[in-house]
Amino acid sequence: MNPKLMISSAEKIGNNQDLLAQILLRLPAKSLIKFKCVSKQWLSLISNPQFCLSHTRHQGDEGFLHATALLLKVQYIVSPEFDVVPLKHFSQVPFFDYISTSGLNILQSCNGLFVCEALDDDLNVSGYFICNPTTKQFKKLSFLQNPIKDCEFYVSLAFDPLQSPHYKIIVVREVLENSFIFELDIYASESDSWKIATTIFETKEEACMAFEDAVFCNGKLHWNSYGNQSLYLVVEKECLQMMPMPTKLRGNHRLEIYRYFGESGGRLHLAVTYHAFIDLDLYVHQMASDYSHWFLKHRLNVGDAMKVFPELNLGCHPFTSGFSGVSFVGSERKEEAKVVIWADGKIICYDFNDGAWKMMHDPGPGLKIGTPFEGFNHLHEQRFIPYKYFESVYVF
Amino acid sequence: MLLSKNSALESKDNEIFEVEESIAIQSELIKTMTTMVNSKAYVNERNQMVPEARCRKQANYHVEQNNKIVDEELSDWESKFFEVDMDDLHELFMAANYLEIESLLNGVTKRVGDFIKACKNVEVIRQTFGINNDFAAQQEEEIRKLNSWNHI
Repeated sequence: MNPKLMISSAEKIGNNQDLLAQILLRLPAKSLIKFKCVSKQWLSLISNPQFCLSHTRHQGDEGFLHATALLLKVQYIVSPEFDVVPLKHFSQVPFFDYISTSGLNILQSCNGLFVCEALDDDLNVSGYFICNPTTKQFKKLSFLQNPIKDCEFYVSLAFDPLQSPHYKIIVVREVLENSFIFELDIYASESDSWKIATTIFETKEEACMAFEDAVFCNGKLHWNSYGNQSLYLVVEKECLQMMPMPTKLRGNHRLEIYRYFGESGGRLHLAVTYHAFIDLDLYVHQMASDYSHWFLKHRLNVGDAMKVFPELNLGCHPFTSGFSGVSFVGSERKEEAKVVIWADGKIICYDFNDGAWKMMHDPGPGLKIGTPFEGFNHLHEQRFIPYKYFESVYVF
Repeated sequence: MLLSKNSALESKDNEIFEVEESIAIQSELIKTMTTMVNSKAYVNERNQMVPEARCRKQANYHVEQNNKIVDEELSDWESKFFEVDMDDLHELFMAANYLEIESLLNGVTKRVGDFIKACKNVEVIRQTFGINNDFAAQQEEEIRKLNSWNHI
């Protein structure tokens, strides 16, 4: 083979925009990021929003994106750093320090984009940002209706690149301090405009809404609640609906501790922890597709996990490591999720396909992932909050 | 039960290929060009642009692909099929792109993608593909820094 001929064919490929796009479409996001400095043509292609959308959509599998990793953020620590739990290949994820701010809290992760609140030195909120950690692109959000002192103000994100190249920001804000009367604003990136007070509603104190805990899937933004009911927004229709929450267990000295809210494969999941003396149960529920009720998928017992992993300190006494940070992750067969838990420095999961506890990520003998904040080792505290990370070149 | 029908495809070099219809319509382009009239398939327009070599390769690809039933066998065979030099890859690429054959395109792009992944760094990519670095040194450094993920 004539070497000169060979070079020229490769050249034709490397310099042909269409062919190049086809090739780069099938390479992983982290490779593309590295190739931005090959040439101006490559940079232009890899930064092109149309190409980036195609690339992101190419990663979709039967209508869903699979998370590349989980980011574990220590609760109450406002550092831009986090621990990474790889779900696919080994992932490096840049910390949030490209957003120059004294402190940072992640509010929500949504199909590749994150919404964060930035804090100043006095731990007051100084702004809200959306960002894509893969490309380090970030943008400060500006509101038409700003937060009022001492009134609740919650910011959520609705984004699914497989459905639409645009995102929406949903704000739930209290109109008057302690009134429990809220207005809902929606920002559409497509038109770069706000609709203020699309809905006005009132909740009661006993409703125990947790507007800071939002999950977007199937075109709906759902909020967690510790009461009997909760709310979700059908985003396109801007229509607020109610949904039931699982009935609390009564008797047997069972104390409900935490409700972990999440989704996998387009299905809402809720894991509720119950503490009964030295035992700990995790009731895993899945929402019916018509939102009529939650059905109990499984009652997991931490005692069973302790038998599978005797070396882990999973005891649920106060002031032991215990477990934390429940997340729901799609497995290969997208129907059944895995319940992923941080447990004494390792990541274990319960796989519904096999009905078994498994080790999901072990950083190595004697090594622990994550260092929980020392002051909060009590069972009632959620030491780590996991966020799904999707490696994506998406440009907004 | 349908009898397999053959489509006649004429290449740029005026060579005629008889290809089973089910194989021919794997190309989106050919699919849209054919119409069914009286349960016979007609090729409305001749496939003028694609030179003979490409057509033959493509026809062979599909015949073989349909002969392989077991998935493992297929993926083994596919990796061997694409273990060709850049010249052939380019030919296949142009054919797959023009004829709009998804599976062929996937195979070729994956192979070129593997070539790229095998390059140790950006400079090797430039050399392999004869790409001219048109960045100023400082520009390139800035981009590199912005997109590096190294942290302690």
